[in-house]
Amino acid sequence: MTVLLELKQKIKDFYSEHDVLLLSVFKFLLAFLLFSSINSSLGFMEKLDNIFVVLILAIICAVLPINVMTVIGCVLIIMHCYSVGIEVAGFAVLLIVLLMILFLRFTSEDSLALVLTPAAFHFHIPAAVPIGGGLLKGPTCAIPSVCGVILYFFMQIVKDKSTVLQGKETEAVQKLQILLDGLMKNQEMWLNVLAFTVVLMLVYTISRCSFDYSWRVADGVGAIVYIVIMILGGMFLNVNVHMGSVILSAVLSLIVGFVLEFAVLGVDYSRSEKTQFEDDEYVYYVKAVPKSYVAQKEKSIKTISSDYDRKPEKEPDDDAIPVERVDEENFDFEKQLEESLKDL
Amino acid sequence: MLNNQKIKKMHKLALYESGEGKKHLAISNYYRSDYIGLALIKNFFLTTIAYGLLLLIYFGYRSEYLMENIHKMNLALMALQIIGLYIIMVVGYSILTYIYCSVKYAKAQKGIQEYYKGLTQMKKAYDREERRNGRITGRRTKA
Repeated sequence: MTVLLELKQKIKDFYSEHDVLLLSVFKFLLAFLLFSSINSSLGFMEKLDNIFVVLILAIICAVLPINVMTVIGCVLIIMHCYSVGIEVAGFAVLLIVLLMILFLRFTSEDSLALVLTPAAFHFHIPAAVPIGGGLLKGPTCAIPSVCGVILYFFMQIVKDKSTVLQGKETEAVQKLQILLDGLMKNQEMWLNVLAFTVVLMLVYTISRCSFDYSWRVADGVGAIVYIVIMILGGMFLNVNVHMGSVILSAVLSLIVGFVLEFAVLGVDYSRSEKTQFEDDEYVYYVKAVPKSYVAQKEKSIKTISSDYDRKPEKEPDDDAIPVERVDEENFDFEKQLEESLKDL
Repeated sequence: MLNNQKIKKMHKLALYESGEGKKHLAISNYYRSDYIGLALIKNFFLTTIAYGLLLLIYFGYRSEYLMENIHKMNLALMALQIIGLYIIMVVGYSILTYIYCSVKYAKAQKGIQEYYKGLTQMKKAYDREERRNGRITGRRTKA
């Protein structure tokens, strides 16, 4: 544990030194993952399904705010849909505008969850988003993550029904019906929406409690509730849910939750203290939990020399002004004073 | 000589100004009633657009059924339903916007108060420094 704490301290120091650069690198990686997942899910426009385009877009996102990533992601989805058909692109625009007007305008600060959800589905760890959102953000994070679920399943529908949607015999109204039915009657999507909302609320509520190891308990409860909802929902709603992948996803999300706890919270419950005091109006029950902190060992290099007569040479400081050593006996103070008075 | 205390304070203020303070300062330019009123007007238009889009999708989805059965349908009742749903949606979203904006305004006010407190402390520190410099150089500062 001490080694991990030392490593955390080192990472923190490194991050504080190079925060601007590291933040850009993280944004670049996230944008790269998001755009790659969009391309692998849809990938109908060949010009966009190109590693260089993804790299250029990711570089642009690395220096711009995270909301730009959301906008570029939405534009990518619309353009891929345009390759399937103009009606599909129109529906994608309508869906995104509706999501923005009805839900996302209230949670513009949590747009990271919207971006992370499709990427998490792509990497088969969807439960990591509600667990992470519940631990780090708040209940409002449920809205963008649910919107992310809707966008992800919309992409899946377009991918699955692409042959029908691209067919010239299919009329525009039929295409609209296929897409809308695919969304509204998609039991798996609603099951995921329910699981995301419940898990996020539970994790948030438990992690804010004051009992020991509340974050870990919240992680565990979140993962178990996710498994239970998905499996029971799969049984009752006739959704084809792979039990193994759900459990694996929950376990991986649990690990992500533990990593987040270690990185963000990092407290030592064994040294927690409780105190109680009161004033005229209130009684205070205070619990103080110290943060785990390990002072880093400072490496000092000592040069051992066999030469006794040689004195160690001190390197002069850059800021210090060099002072000339003057022999006091030969120094004429009066003359020096006269000269300085002349200057005055 | 560098004053560490002052630099820390300035850094904190600059961080706030470039971060959430930017939004808070923009919000604090309005009176509470003006800010919420403007947000409600914006909400009215946005909700109307969203409702229009929802209607468009609904009529597009049910277009075949509507074309076949329009002569049998009670159009007055349908119009009433549409207007009723619209009013419910606008009122619901207006309440949501009111709560959201009130909380946002209160948060901004709190942040701005802290910011102004910091600025006052900075001004005091500068005044103190100026007085001290004046005493050393023998110059009198303007009252």
